Amino acid sequence: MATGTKLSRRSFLAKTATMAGVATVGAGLSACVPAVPGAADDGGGAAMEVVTLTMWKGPHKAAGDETKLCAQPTLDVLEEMHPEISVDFSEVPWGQYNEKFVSAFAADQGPDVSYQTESFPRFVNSGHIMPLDERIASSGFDRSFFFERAWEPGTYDGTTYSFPWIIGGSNLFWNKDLFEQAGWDPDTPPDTMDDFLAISQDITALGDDIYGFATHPKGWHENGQWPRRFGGSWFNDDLTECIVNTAEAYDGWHFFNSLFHDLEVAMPGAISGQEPGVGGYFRDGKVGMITAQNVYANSVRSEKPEFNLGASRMATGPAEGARGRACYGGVGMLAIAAKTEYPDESWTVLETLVTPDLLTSWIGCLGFMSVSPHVNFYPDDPVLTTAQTTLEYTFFWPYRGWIFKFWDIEGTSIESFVLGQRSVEEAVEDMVVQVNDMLREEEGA
Amino acid sequence: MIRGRAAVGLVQLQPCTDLQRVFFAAKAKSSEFHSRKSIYHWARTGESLQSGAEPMTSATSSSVQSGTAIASFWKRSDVRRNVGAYLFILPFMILFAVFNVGPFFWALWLSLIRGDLVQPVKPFVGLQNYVSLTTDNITLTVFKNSLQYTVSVVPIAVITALALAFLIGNKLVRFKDFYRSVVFFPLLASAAATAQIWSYILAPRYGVMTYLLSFVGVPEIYWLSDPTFALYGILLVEWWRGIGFHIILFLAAMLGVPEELHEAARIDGANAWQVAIRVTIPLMRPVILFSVVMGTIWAFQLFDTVFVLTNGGPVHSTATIVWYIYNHAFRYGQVGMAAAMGVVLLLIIMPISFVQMRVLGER
Repeated sequence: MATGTKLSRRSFLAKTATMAGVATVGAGLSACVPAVPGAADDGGGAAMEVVTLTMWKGPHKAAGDETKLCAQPTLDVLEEMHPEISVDFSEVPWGQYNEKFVSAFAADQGPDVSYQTESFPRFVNSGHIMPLDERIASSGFDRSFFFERAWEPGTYDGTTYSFPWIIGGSNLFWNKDLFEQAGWDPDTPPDTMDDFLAISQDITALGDDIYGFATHPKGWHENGQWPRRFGGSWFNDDLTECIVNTAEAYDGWHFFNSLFHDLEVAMPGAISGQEPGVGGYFRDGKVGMITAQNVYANSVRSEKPEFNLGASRMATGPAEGARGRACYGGVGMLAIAAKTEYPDESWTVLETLVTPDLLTSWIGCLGFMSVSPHVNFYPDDPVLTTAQTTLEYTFFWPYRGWIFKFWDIEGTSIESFVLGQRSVEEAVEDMVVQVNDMLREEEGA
Repeated sequence: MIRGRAAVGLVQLQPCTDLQRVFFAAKAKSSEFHSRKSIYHWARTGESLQSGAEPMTSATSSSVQSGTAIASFWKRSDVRRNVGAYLFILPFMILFAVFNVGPFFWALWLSLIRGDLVQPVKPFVGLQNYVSLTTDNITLTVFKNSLQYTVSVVPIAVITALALAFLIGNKLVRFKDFYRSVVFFPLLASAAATAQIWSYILAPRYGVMTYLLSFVGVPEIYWLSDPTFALYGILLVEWWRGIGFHIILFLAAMLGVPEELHEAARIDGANAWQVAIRVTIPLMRPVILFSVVMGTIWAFQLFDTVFVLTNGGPVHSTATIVWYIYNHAFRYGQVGMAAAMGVVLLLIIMPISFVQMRVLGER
C-alpha cells in the first residue's frame, strides 16, 4: 500500500498550474531568442553549409502568380548557380508593406535582401541599409550595365545604397476597336493634345456609356503628370518648395479638369473610382484611352486575350521635349540590410539577380521595362517593345521619406476637383500649402 | 454573469485599500467559501464583498502597513490556499502585462517624442504632438468622421439586432440554430476578404446592389466614391459584419428571461409588444449596455474595412481616427503623432463608455 504523498484534487490543480505557468514563461522566453538563419540546413550537409537568406518583395500580379511563375523559377536557377545559398522569398502585400518593413527594421529583423521603392530613404537615413559602393568597386561591377538614370533613386549624398532592378513606366494604352468605330486609324495613337481631345470626343460620341478617356480620381501617379505636360513642375530643384501652381501648371490642371466637367469626355471619377476600376472598364470596352504602367498589358492579355490593344508614348502637351509627353516612372531597387549576418551571400544574390538571364526570367516575366540598355525583354512583342522605348518620357517622383504623405495630399487634392467638390484653384492652392508645410516640417526635423 | 457580478463587487472597492479589503472580506466570507454552494450563492445574490467585510480597525490597518506585511500576507491560509489559482492566471497576467500594459505606457512615451519608428534616436518634444493635432485640419475631419460613424452605426446596429433577435427567438420560428449561424458568419469571415466582395456588390455599373435598387426606382448610388454617401457605404458593410455579434448576445439574454414573467404579463393582459417593451427588454438591459459599449468602442476603432474599401477617401470622407493613426505610424514616419492620436482616442472612448454605463446601467 502506498503511503507516500497523496494527490488531492487541490494539489493536482496547483501542480498543473505550476507546470502551465512554467511552460508558458518558457515558451515566451524561447520565442524571444532569434532564430539562427540557415539553422534548418545546419544538420544536413557535412560537405557544405547552406546559408538561408530572407528576401521580401511587393507583389506584381499583372502576369499572374509572381512567386510561382517568375520568382521561384528564377531563384531555383540562382540556387543552382550558388548551391551555398538558399533564398527564402516572401511576397509582402502592398497593403502591409509599410508596416511590415517598418516593424522589421525597427526591431533589427529586416530581410537580408529587400525590394525597395520611393520611401527607401526612411531606411537609409536610419542606418538599416548597407552602402554598396565598396562592393561595387571591389567586384568590378560595370555601372554602365544599368541606365544612368536608374542609379539616381538609390543614391544619397553620393553613396549608392541599392541596385536598380525594375523600371516601371506608364504609357498610353488605347482600344483599337473603339478607335476604328470612331473613325480613327486604329494603329495611330494621338500625337498632340488636340488629337487626344478629338479622338476622345469621337469615342464618347459612340454613346452607350462609352468614354474617350478614364483615370482613377485619386491616381496620384497618372494624374500628377498633367501640369508637367503643359510646362509646369512639382518642385524646385532642391525639393524645398512645391511650385505646381504656376501659370503653366494651371494650364495642365484646367485641361485635365475640363475632360471631366466641361468637355465630359472622361468617365466620371465617381464611376472610375470604384470596381472594376479604370483597367476593368477599359478592358470591357467602355473606355478608349488610359494611361497605365506597362505591366497592365499583361493584365489585359490574360483577362481578355482577344483585346485589340495599342500602346505608345502619351500625346504631347505644350511643354517642350520629353516633358510634353510626361508619364509616371519609377525604379524598384534591390538592397541589403545593414545588419545582415550574411553580407557576402546577400551581395552575391544581388549580383546574380541582375544578370541578363535572371533579369529576363523574373522582371521580364512580370512585364516591366528593363533597367539595362543591354537587355531587351520583349524582342518579339511589339506592344511591350514600344513600352520599353518610352523610358525617356517617364518622370520619377522624389525618392524621399515623405513621399507617402505627399501622395496622399496630392491624390486627395486632385480627387476633390475631379469629383466636383472644389474648384481647381481651391484644390491646387490648398495642396501647395499642405505640401510646403510638410516640406518645412521635414526640413525642421 | 457570475464573473460580472463578482467583478462589480471588486470594482466598488476603494483603490487605495483594495488589496487589504479583499483579503479581510475573503476571511469574513471564508466559511461561505468552504461550503460547496456558497460561491454560487454569493455570485447570484450579487452581494458585495464589502457587505460582509469586517470594518478595518486601526490595529489591523497598521499591522498590514508594517514591515511584516508581505510575510503575514503569505502566511494567510486563504492566500496559500489560492496559490494554485494565482498560478493559473499567471500566464494570462504575464501576457496581459507584456502585450497590453507595457504597450500602453510605451504609447504614452511615444506621444512625447518625434520621428520615425525605424530611427534609433527620436527627440523628446514634450506635448508638441498634441498641439500639432489641434492645428491639423485632417485630424479634425477624422475625429468628426469617427464620431458621425459611431453615432450612426451603434443605434442602428443595436436596434436592428434587437428586432432580428426577437424575430429569430420567436417560438414560431424553426431552424433557430441555422439563423444564428447565418447572422454570425460575417464576423468569422476575413474582414479584408468580405470588404473586397462588398466593393463589387456596391460597384456602380455592375454591382448587385445597384441592380436590385433599380427595381424599386432608386437611381445609381456611388456608395464608395461619392463623398456624400461613402461613410454610409462603409456603415452598411460594418453593420452586416457586426450585427451577428449583437444578435447572438441578445438571443442569449432573451433565453435568460424567466418564462414565468412573460406568462404573468400575458395573464395581466399585455400583448406581445408590451411584453417585449415592458418585460423582456428591461431585463436584457445589462446585455444591451454591454452591446452598446462594445459597439461604440469598435466603431471608434474602425480601420480594416476603410483601409480595404476606400483608403479613407473620397476626399477624406471615410477617413477615421485609426486609419489616420496607421498612416502616421507606418506611412508618414510620424510615430509620435500616431501615439498622441491614440491617447486622445482613449480619452474620448473612456468618458463615452462611462456615460453609457451610467445612463444605461442605472437601476
